[in-house]
Amino acid sequence: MAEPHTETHAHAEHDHKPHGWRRWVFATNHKDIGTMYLVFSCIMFFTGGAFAMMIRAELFKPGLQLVDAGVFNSLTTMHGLVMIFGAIMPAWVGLANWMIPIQIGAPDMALPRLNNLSFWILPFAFVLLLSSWLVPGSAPAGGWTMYPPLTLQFGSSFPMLIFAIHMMGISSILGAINVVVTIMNLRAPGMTLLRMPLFVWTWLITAYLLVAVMPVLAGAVTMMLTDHFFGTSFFNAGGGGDPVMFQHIFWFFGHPEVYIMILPGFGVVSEVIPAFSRKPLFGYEAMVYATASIAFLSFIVWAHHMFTVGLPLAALLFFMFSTMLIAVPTGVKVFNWTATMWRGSLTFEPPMLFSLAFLFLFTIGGFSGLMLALVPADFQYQDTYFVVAHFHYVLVSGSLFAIMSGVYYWLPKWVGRMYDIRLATWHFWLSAIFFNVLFFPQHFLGLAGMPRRIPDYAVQFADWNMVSSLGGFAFGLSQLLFPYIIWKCVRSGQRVEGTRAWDGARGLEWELPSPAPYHSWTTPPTEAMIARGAEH
Amino acid sequence: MYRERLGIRPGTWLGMAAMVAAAMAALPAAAADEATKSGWGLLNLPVGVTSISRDVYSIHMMAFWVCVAIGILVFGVMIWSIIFHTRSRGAVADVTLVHNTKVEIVWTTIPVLILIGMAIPAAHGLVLISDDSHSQLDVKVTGFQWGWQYDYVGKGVSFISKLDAKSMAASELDSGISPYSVPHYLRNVDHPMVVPVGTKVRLLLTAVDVIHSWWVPDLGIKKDAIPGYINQSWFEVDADKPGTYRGQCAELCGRGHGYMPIVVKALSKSDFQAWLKREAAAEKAAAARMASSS
Amino acid sequence: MSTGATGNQPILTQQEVARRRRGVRRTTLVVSLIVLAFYFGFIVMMLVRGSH
Repeated sequence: MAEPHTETHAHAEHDHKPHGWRRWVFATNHKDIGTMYLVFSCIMFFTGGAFAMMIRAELFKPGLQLVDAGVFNSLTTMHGLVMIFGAIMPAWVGLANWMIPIQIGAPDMALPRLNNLSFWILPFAFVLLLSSWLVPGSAPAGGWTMYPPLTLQFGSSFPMLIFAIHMMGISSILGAINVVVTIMNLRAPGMTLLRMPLFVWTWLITAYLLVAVMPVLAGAVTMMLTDHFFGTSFFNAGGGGDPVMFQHIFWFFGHPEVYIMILPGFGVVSEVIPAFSRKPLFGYEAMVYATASIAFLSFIVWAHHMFTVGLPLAALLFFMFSTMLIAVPTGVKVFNWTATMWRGSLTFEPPMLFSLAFLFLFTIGGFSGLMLALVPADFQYQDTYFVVAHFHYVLVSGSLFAIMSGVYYWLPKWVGRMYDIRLATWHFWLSAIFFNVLFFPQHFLGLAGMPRRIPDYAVQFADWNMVSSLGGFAFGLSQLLFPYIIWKCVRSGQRVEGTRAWDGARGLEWELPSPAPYHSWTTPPTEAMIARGAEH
Repeated sequence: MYRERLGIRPGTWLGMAAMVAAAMAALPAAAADEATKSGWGLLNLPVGVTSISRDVYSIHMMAFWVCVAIGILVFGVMIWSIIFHTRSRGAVADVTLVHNTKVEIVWTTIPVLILIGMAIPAAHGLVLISDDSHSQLDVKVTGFQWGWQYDYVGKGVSFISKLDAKSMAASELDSGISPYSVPHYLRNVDHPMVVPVGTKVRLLLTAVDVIHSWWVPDLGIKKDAIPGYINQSWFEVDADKPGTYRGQCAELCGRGHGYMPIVVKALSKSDFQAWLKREAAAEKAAAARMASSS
Repeated sequence: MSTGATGNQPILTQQEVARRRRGVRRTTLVVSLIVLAFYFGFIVMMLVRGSH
């Protein structure tokens, strides 16, 4: 089996790793910054999770028992913002930081100091956002979508929300610039675009999406800011403004944002399924083109979030057809993953388990998405728990499970130790089962007529809400296993021998010793290594 | 290298779990027919009492069954691989299977055809729903924080409809009143909207403060009420289906969002005329009282 | 399988390093300009067009 790479090993021995707090505060190493992103995202995941637990506790039975209706709205708002901007997106940036330079044979990200900045903006943004719980009037309660005029009604928390969004947006943009510049310039000689691993490809496309839409969000919230403080009336009907315009602008950002959260997940799954099927990915190029077409389509479907605002018939038809069209490239992806497993030699380690759950459950989320695309049916689904179920199927069993899959796949490479497979398998089964107990009944609730974002409900919805809440508590508790498994692995995991932690794993990261040296690929990989990674 | 140490083939377990999940996904439709109006039986959209709601229901069920069919096919292939193409069964990976233009063309074209098949009835239904011409009764509906105002255009009838007092009392934080003891908890109002059956009723929706959304599942319509806009929608309750139909605001509108129900009472045409006359007279009398007392 | 002989690593030449540095600078500049144009352009355009 493989010998550790003596060239990089030699470097690893005399790398000047700064010690103490300076290593983190002044971090420029892509692995350190990646680690900080992932730890930050984990903290935010449990913060947003705590809000979710409170939401499910209040909805456990009809009647208000725990929180006031206004606080409930703050909880749903903050849950959404924290999970999207604090947990999912930083987790992907963390994985990008760790893996992109290693996977393309680059020594680091192209702009290491910018990298430091884009990370360190985030903690401040979230301190600002979360401290809005303490100001008079409590945290923002207009939903993560921040629709005016409702959001304009909130007092002291409003500017905090706007500035926190600005900071998160700037952080994301800087991160995206770094990813684009790195991939375009620092690929090892011989690493052509069509030899890049799919995780790199999906992140390149994601970075372009970020660059394109984050400024749009910034524009939208800035207009709201001037509406609130400087007497403009962009969205205020009383002053001749248009509240629906905000929704158009917001969802022009918001729909690509959905793909920003899922495309890197497609990338991870496209690495993990071949590795544990012991077969190259089926239809590599089709995957790349499908990803690009999904990204393109994401710009012309935004109004499917607003079918009930009273759009003209022609607009409704256009957005219905364009939205349905997304099913085609998405279907190609699902079929390619299926074909990758076909006649493979499968094993079911935790990364593969999470990727398989992704495959099944994301597809179910895709089905409900297709149903939501049909405008007449959407008139019934819109703003109900059916939508809540749909987007949790694509964001939790989609993005989150893909992140879990990626972490369990690459963790041995990062720390040079293997985690407790049995415990991680438990983590998987508990997550997969209770995820469905939590969210599947929400389809029923939505169809039966329960709107989303309500703190209390009519008694006919009580039974399924109780099931959903029980599933929610169990799902939340089982996630505590995740940091424990990682902690245990870092402290006392069994050492991984050689370069490959998984026998089917391919790609440049698996040509490096484990743990990956602090400075990797200071000399570029050989053609043979690149060729081995790009067997497709 | 680090293989599963479970005694039973994990693929078999995984396959079985996937089958259970797939069966669960098909459950709501199977149980839909016997759906009772409460609790565990509430699994599917109501068929409703208007032509729109029936159209929507059939589009919904068509989409659902298409998804089930595709699901059975795709999940079936996945489950087959998960059970049979495993290393524990000695399967050897066929590493040459990486590309097949013919297959790839097929699985791009067939979905396009299926989508066209779904888009046609959906577009047709949408066109029917969008035609709000030739209405026989116009009602202006105004959302506010938190309730609805109904103005019967040209009939001299106008009133405000809010959550009923019993629900209100029980819905307070730690009220001590069981929601189960309140009839139609959170789905009852002090002053319901009244419409005639067999009549095309057009709604003109707007709002005074923030965005609200008027939704009654049995009527099959949901439309946002937006400040500065007048949105239109319509419904016609089947002539043989007088009754009381309930819904609630569907767009987050502040702390009272969960507490602005919509109740529509559909009366026979003659009962409706009688109601209208009574209501107009009562309102005229109230206005006269107001004028004389001031 | 071996991870490749350690002796025959391709070493980046001086020109290659310089080319990369130019590339990084150029791409950063282009993408940043696009972002700035988007970011402020979008805000300014909205503020100007929105306020009659």
